Amino acid sequence: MKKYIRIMLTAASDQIFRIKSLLARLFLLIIMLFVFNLFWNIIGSEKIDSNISAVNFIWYLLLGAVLQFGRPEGLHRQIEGEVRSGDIAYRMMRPVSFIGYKCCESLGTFCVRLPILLFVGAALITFLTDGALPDQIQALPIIIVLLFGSMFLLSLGTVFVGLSALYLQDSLPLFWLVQKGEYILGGLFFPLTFYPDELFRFALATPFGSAGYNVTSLIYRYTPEQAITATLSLGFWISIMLGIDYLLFFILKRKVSVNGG
Amino acid sequence: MVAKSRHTTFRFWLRLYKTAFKQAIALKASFVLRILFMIANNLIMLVGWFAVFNTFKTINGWDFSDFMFMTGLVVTSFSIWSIFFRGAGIYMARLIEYGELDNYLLAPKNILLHTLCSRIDPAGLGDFLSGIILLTASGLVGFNNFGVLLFCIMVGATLFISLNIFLGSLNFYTADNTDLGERLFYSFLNLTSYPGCIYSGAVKLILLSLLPTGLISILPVEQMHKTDTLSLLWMLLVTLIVLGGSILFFYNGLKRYASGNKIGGKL
Amino acid sequence: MSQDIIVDNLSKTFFVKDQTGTKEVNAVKSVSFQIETGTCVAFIGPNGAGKSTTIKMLTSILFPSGGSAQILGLNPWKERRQLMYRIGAVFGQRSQLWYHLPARCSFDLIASIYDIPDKEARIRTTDLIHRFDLKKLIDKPVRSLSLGERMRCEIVASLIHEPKVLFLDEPTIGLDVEAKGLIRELLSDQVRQNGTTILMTSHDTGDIEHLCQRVLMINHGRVILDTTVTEMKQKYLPHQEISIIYDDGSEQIIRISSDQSVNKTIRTLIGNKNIRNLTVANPPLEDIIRSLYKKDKVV
Repeated sequence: MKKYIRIMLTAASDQIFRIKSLLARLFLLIIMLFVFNLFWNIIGSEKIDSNISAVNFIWYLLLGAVLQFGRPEGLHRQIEGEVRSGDIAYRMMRPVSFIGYKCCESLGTFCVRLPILLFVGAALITFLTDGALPDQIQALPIIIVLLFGSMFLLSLGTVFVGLSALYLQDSLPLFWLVQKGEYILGGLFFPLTFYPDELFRFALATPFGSAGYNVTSLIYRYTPEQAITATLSLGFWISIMLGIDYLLFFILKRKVSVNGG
Repeated sequence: MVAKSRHTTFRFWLRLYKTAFKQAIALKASFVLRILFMIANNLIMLVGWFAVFNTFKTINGWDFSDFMFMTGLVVTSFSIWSIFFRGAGIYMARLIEYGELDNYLLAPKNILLHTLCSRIDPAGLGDFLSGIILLTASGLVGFNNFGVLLFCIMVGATLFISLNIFLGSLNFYTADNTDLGERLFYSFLNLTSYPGCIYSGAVKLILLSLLPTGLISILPVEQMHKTDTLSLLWMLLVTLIVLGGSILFFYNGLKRYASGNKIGGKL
Repeated sequence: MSQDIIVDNLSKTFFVKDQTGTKEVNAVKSVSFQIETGTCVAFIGPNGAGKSTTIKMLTSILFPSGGSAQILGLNPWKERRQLMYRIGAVFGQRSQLWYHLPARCSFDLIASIYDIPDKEARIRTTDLIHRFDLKKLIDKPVRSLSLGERMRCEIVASLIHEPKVLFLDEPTIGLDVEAKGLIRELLSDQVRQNGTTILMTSHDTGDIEHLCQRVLMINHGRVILDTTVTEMKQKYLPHQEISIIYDDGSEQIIRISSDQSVNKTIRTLIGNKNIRNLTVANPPLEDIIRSLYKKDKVV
């Protein structure tokens, strides 16, 4: 366990030196929140759901954006490269789980980016909405903890995309699809309550809904029961994805040793 | 003599595209997958928006067909960059970062064009197809405004290409801008992914001049409904300025090219 | 004989940023030399001496900070395009071939880059393929070639337009003994048959001994030695080794520095003993070069 914490710390300190990357993400975050705020002011809140105000929605979107920009970029590309060049075989020589290693890298990066993105985003939102706070702001600490679970689940998804290069030659197309799944079904781009009922329930039943909406929407609809549901659903999908990733990795291990001769 | 040199120059560009295309299809499964998934990708995004428009019917005067047209135009313009000038953007940034622009500097051809035309992204074909589907399905295009549509696509494509020349060239000026350039490009794209009608006042003015995403996501829809020459001239003017500026930015940066400084200052 | 390459006081300064601010790095301080048509010159020096930077300036990849140069009578920075038709370059650590495609596709494209008519291009490529023994490799994707095979293709790629001057930056880096030997042979054929002028950098003394007539040594951004390979071996010996086997079977090995006389040393050693065998050996070229790198100024 100690070595996985070390991996996280190394990834985190690596991020501290990448100021440009962070600034670029902050810029994108600001533009996104700004445009979303404009969009929201035009369509008005009362038409959708009387319980949810504009302030609630923009906070909800901020948490989604933190997930989106808080992860390391190109993780799938990196794994794909290792699969295709066979470098993955060298990785296996080390007494550390490949999947665990990649996920810890993600979480370490997230550790550094989350507070910065959240702070700047919250400051901007407060400015745009004249200091109004979302209904369940006191749930923020719990949400932050759960966001790490979401990041873990999303990273497992990205690892899956990268490993799929074994069959697909190219992991980019699958990456797009997963990314759109995160946007549309995870509610990172729209609040899921925009959707018709069936689509809404379908989205919640996917891992995307579990990593996204289920956690991020707690900012306005938190109750202890909802938080427990979100945690259980995260736990469920994390164990499923872990199983899938390990299975794929197991197959890959055998293939690589055959190729390596 | 002039005729002959024109002929050989034309042959060179043709062969360059042919080679780039062959490289793009060298991994066949990947080629097909990229096209298909890109179409799926574009259409999935539309499902979300469909749900939104289904709830609100119109947003600031735009209905779903306006939005489809806008998305179709963005995607089609984007695809022209992707298919014909994909060398601009990340590819260029990497060439500069790793000092691989050397090969282009060694060839007796125009460096910028040679770089731009030496990559084709198969996904661009998927974008092109979905763009055409969206433009047709929007029902906004007819015989009378087909010319305007072509003009708008040209404007959009030129803006995407110029922006990518600009972002790709950032690496000439300071090191390690590849990721920064990519993110800034996404910021630009983000501005064109919401219905253009939501922008008004000062923001709209900025988007029509300094940060001209409005030339892709705001003006074209208006022009398809009711064409006015002044707006078209404005679009042309801004586009030419942006293109010219990005070309100057590239050549000015080229003078600072350090050829592979990235590899630990290998002198 | 005419001078293909004339370099005068060339310099290049890079500005490197680090935590403490921007620093000036004078990669090339002042380099001057001339190279005659049809000669092969080794351009050597320790890492960071300014070799690659100089070559990149001469091939117009980098813009110099000062000084001037003429290649085949042309200014590399003002007459880039004309010059490119007449020179070629291979950078050992860079590839000009398309990774996923067979080398033949790259060759075809390169022929059109230099506006060579198809018919002519076919004749030249066929000839080069034959000379470089590429028949079996030419239709395989470049990514599946070995390093030595790829390097042969790289060299062919830069010979298609029949350059008068060829710049090679570490063409044998990372190759095995056999591949190195083959490339040296092919290059020296090129010099002999076509009168191509070659300026090459290399850290491999074998390249220098087998291929080059002349050595230009550069260190700290300046030329510190400009001489023939033979002269370098004779004149700049750091030491010599005398080994003697006497009739009684005993052996003696003595190392003398270059300012001591071989004649005197041997006389005093032998005295009136009978000897069975005596050899005076020069140190390997590598030792000579290493001793020269330590000096700041040789000539």
